[in-house]
Amino acid sequence: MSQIDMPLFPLPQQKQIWAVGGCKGGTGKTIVTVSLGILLSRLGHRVVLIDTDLGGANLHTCAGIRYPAKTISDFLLKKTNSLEDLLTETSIENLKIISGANDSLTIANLPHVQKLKLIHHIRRLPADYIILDLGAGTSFNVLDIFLMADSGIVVITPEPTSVENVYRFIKSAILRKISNYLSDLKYNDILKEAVASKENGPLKSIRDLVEKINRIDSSISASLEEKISSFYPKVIINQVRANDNMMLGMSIKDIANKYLGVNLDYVGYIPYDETVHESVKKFKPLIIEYPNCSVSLCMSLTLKKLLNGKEPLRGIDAGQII
Amino acid sequence: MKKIEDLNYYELLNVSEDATLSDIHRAYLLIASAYSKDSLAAYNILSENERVDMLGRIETAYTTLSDKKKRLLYDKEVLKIEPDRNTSAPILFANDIKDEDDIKFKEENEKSVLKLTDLSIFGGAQLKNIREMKGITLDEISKKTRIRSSYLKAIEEEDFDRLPEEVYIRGFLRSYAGYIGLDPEMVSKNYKFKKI
Repeated sequence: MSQIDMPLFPLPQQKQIWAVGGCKGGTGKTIVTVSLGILLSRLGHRVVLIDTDLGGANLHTCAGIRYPAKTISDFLLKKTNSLEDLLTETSIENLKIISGANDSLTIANLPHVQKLKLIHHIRRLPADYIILDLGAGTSFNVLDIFLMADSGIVVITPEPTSVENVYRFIKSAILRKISNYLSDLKYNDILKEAVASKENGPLKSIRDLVEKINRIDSSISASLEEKISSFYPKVIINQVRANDNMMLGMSIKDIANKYLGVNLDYVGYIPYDETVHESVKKFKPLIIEYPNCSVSLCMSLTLKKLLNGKEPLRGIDAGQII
Repeated sequence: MKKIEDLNYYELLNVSEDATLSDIHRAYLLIASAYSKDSLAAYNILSENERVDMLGRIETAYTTLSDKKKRLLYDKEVLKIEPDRNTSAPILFANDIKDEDDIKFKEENEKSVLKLTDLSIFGGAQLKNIREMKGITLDEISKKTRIRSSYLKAIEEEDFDRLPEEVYIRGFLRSYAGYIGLDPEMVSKNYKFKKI
């Protein structure tokens, strides 16, 4: 490898799993997933993209594969015991995908045990970065896969429907995280009691919930707060047009922090560009077909921000990056 | 995890306690935009009362922290912080500013939460939000600054076809910003002069 081809970022010491979600459909989760994957693979990382949206799977199309021979349903239907068997090569070096295509199965219907098995096998895949493209909605399975990732990335568009859905998604995800944590501690009843409690008014924020739990049993409040503060989703604003408010991401971050008690990391915006539509029509990944368009350039900036986040990525010493 | 009513003025504006005046101006622009009447970010998450209440808190915080005497008093009496002029990142007020390099040097040493980055450039919509929040009309600014209302409107709408050359727009921006209580130089410097 010549010096000019050397990756900009050091290879990670530990595998990283990212999940790209965001409640509403059509926000561009799949384009973001594929673009980040291609950019990471170009930095010399081994990357696997997994389409976990079985009901509306189209990651393979955005990655330039028309007819994937193997899909994740082969694993879920026990046709194979290994996810590794389902890895499909792409035209891009270091980049493989696991498609969720051509199947009416929805991951929302996965039994709990099967979901745990899937998560276990995802973690064992041979890759430096595994990026999961999530389906829309706030089903427990979508939320659990989002929460199992080292970094959860939420993609929003600057529209009222998308913004209201994202708060719903964030609230649902943090509630699920709290619920899973209390369940692990065998404290399931506390959450039910806190939610049912009418003392001090209705629950509006995570802060209210923690307060109510604290009143019921103060012994777990410190560890619960620690768990909540470790929930640090990244936010990308996609399809930004000329007249949109450029500060929407910062505004959402502030409101989520003050009113939901959740810290978000706004990592960047991606402009609206017809080239996205054109690349999908051509079955060519955007980053490959239009490497110098505004979307590709902003994806690179966003990736840079993701790799330099204030919160160190698990398994990587932040000081080692750049 | 603090309640809204327990947030101090610095926390309300998301700045550190040693934030410079320009940090405070920028933070105010960002935060006021989040809670403005037409804010997309506040849609369906805040009630009208919550939004208006927060704007009032932000206005109070900004009025206090952007005034040297009021800020020192607030730091001392409420936060129990003694001013320390020997720190590496001294508090910087408008009347302490010598020149652009001085501002730049001080800002580079700052560690405030909000920094001006490519993610936080602002445009006419934010200026309009703050003007409306203060109940100031464009006609009023036009009369006082002798700038045509149509130019002021075009600045808010970022309609550059209806505006003269950039050098004139910067002059208009300074007058407009000064009238609505913002730092004229900061607004002129950071205004988004082109569409995405």
